[in-house]
Amino acid sequence: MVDQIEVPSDGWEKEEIPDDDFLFMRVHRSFLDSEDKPIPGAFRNRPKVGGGMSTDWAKYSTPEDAWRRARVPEDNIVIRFIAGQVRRVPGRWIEHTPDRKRNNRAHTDVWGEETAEARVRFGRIYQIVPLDDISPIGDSQ
Amino acid sequence: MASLQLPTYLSESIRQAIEESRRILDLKDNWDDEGSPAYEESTWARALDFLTLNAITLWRHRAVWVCAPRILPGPQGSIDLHWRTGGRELLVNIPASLSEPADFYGDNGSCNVIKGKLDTSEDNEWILLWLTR
Repeated sequence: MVDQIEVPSDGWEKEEIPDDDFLFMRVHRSFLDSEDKPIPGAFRNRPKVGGGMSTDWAKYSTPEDAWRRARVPEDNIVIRFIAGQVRRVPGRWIEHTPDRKRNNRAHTDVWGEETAEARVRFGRIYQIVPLDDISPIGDSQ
Repeated sequence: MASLQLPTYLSESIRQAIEESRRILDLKDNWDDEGSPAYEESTWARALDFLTLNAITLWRHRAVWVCAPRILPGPQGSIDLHWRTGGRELLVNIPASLSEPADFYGDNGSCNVIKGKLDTSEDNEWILLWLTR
């Protein structure tokens, strides 16, 4: 007997994200400190009710893709997390949530309450993606 | 411009952090292009009351000024007080709703952990004392 798996007609079924994979997240400049590092407020759920912390899975997104999805990309940086480290933040879990409406197969929610503990811990495990990796030289202007 | 009256009896570094934090009140709705709301003066004032009252109490009881926190815009109209000092990190989140308790988390990077909810109308000197240990 083989279990039936329901696959959406667009083929964008939810997938399990391996612990070693990267998740990219945009951070608006308003949430950067004087050293251009994210402040704890950057690690927030969007929207507050019913939303998770919005990220893009590296399997289907480059850092540049994530950056270009911003309303004003130039006002944002991109950081990355390692999925397995995110899973170790108490009370948080990851779900691949492809967003057909916004044509974003990479979309991944980090669910869980927006606690002070979670935000402190996120502040210890992110890495800033260098700007050169986001916006290739000659691609701007 | 917000016009909170600060106690005259306050460390200079805390006074300066408070003055700099006034800019939070200049942030308008959708200030991050992602729908974040503006900050209420009542939230800011609650954060500053928590900070100043407990810092002064700590000074009076222990003759120690806690170092100044970063006073930062938090998620959904809340305000964060964030300290990193002497190997310890503490985040106190003052929610936008005045009826909700503050949420806090601190650790020393190892097994000394404090976390929970705070009634900001009560004496919470202990949490600043923890930072100075």
